[in-house]
Amino acid sequence: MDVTLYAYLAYVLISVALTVWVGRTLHKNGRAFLVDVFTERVDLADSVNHLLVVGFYLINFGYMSLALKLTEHVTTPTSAVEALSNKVGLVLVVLGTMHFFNLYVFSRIRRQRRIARAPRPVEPDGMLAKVMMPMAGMGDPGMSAASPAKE
Amino acid sequence: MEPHDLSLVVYYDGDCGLCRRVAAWLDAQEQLVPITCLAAQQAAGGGCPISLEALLAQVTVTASDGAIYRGTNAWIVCLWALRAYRPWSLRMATPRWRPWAERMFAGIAGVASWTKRRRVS
Repeated sequence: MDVTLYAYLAYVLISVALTVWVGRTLHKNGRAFLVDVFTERVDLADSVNHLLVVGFYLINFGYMSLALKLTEHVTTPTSAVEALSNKVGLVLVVLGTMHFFNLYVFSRIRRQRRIARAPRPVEPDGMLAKVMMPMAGMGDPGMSAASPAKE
Repeated sequence: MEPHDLSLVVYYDGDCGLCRRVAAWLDAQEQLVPITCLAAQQAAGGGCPISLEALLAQVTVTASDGAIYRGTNAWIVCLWALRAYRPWSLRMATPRWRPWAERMFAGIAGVASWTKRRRVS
């Protein structure tokens, strides 16, 4: 009975440590990705980063507690180590899957943003002489710089 | 960086069934850059600086910053303006896919010429 309890304790300690380590890595390194995606909105990047990490922790701790119970009867230290390694291995695989899923989400967000900001992919075949003049004045800040010359 | 108030005008052949279909399809799509479709026959009279012959010879797109796009370029710019097709337009513009895009749009132009209704007057 004692052996099982020790196995449980070791399992919880190892799993929590691993989850926190991966979560912190994600939080630290995912930020650069998101800041690139949400240009000039660092607050938004930090917010999304935090929300993603919270989801990551919830899923992992959830899985961890669900997978805690040992089905086989553990009597000797050897069998305890075996059972423990089995459990921790599963937690690692789940962590890895979650980690790659997060990377996929990051890269997807980044790609979509890049496409949304993409300039026209082809060069014009010509320019309209007539339209050029009013357009250059309308949106161009250079216009205001030119206006004092008139006064 | 594109001007934030960019808009496009597409000149299509108003006597061509397929062209009208495509224009209606463009109007119905979700547009990242607003597109106005004009029948070349109507536009040529009303202040369009491009001649009707030139407009009918090839699909023509003008942008509000004065850029003119013709043929395959016009198609690619139209697709670029649509949310769902922008990734396709970026791909089509690469040297690798460009020849296939040219062929495809030439094929569509061929089909369009069959659906052209001859004006009696």
